[in-house]
Amino acid sequence: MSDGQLAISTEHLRKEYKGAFGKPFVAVHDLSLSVPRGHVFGLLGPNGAGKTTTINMLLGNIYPTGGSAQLLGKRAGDHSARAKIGFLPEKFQFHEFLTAEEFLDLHGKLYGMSADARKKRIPEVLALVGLLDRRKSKLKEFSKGMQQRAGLAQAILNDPDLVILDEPTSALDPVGRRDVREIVNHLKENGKTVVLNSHLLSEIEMTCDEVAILRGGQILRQGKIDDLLAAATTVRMRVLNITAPLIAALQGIAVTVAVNGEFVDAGIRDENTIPEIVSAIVGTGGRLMSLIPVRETLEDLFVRIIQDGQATPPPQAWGPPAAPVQGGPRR
Amino acid sequence: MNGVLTLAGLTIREAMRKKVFIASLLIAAIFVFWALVPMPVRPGMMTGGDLAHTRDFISKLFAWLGCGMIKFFSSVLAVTLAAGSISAEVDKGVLSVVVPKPISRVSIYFGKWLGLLTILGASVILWSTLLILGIWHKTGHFHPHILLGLLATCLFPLLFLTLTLCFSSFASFALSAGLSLIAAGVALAEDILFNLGRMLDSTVLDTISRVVGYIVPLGKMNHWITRGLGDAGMDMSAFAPGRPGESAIATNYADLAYIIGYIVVSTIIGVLVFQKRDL
Repeated sequence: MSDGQLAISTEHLRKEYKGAFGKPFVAVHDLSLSVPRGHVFGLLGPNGAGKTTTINMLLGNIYPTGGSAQLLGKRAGDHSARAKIGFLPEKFQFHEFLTAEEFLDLHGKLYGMSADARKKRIPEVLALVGLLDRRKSKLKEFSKGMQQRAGLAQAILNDPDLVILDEPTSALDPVGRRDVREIVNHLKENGKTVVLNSHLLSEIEMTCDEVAILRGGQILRQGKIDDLLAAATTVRMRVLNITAPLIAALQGIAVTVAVNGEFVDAGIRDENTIPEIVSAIVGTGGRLMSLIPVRETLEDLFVRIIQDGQATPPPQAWGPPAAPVQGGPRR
Repeated sequence: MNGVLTLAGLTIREAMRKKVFIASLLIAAIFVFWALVPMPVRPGMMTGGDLAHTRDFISKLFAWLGCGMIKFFSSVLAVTLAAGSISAEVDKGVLSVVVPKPISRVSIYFGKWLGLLTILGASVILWSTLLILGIWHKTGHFHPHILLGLLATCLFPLLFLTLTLCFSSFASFALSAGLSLIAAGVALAEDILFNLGRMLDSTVLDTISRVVGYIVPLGKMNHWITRGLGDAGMDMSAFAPGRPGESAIATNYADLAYIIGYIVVSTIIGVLVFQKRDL
């Protein structure tokens, strides 16, 4: 994919801090990331994975120690690119003595928007985030969630091509989260690129086309959500008359097998394996009472990848298909 | 330039919110109070002086004292306003939504500097006006040199603003204010060491005094205020015995250039530090 088709492109991006006694601490380690234009992209990772540092390096708040980054086809920091970028930080604190309208007017001026453009656009974005009737209220009178909405309005004020939202729903109630989701979908429908950094994996799963999972400043996995989640599934079964030959037969077919009483979870590579599993159970004298194929959620995938911690794990690897693992059903 | 003006306006609004104008008005009230305190100038107040002479002397004395007051209050206000003004916004995260906008960090720095300078400028103009009116009210005299003295006095808030903002680009409120106070303390030593050096005829003290004068050129600025005030000017160093062929109060344009250069270099260092730092 050419640079022109990418909203974000980083090559070997690195951020190193001087730690205690001069020992360096690497926050972001050799990060090469490609975010196509028009996509909703999720940055996932546990605390300290380097997500916010990465975002701040892209936006010029933090200087990288090494590597390079491009936004909208131009080097990070280019003013013409910045004019087309919107950003809502994780730890947002705005000039609280301003009203919502004044706050947006200030940021409109900083974006270089004309007075007419600001006058037209400010009510639009305030309506979009549900703050139009509070436009004359000072930000200090707002709840944290309302301030986050105002911050979101600021991030989309300039009709940006790239919107970077760092934990955009952290202070929002369920209704607010749904509103943010709708705004993100609206941006996507209009061909905008959105980068979401969130701990709420269900939000990411519902909203994003593609994700990158980071840990320790490195990308462990990147890809389209559908591809990542289609890779591995589980079948959950209730089986009577479980015997050692039955388990051995399942182990020969499934990637992993977990038995807990009469419940058996079998990790499979694709759904074509299911008839073989059924045959194996029946063929070894087992009585299959129920079988439910369970697709892995993003949360399952995230936890598995983070726990595995491999930067380049083999595709669809679940662990060794060896001895039966005793444990409860996955859900 | 629009970014600079926008941020200057924001800085002024923020200062207004912090009720800085109340501090400025309180100081203004001191000048009003002083002007209204009954203190009639009568002939015979000074030995051998007629009324005109006495009024002239008193007006010059008040001009000198008033410039000193403005110098002090404007410097304190400059340090208070500028200390932590950048680092506090970095710590709070306010700047993290401003920096990614299509404006340079230099613009952000100058926006802040210009905003604070405007507040200081407005305060100094208000106090100076009240001082001049007060002197005129008390003595009926307008001492024209006071304008030059006040102009030179403006170097103080300008220098302290610039220096403290420079410190604020990397240091917290307390540290940047502390560093500025240390700078002022160092500068105070200049005249003391100068006078001691003359009294003890010590060239070492004299040399240290000169070096201190270059580290923080407050002494040179004081001399320019004295020069501006003309015959109303009083400078402790003027009372020190001069060496042959040497003037106690030495003002020259090289010193003025040094002061301006000092302010410019402080600004450049502040901008460079702010440009290079992570937010």
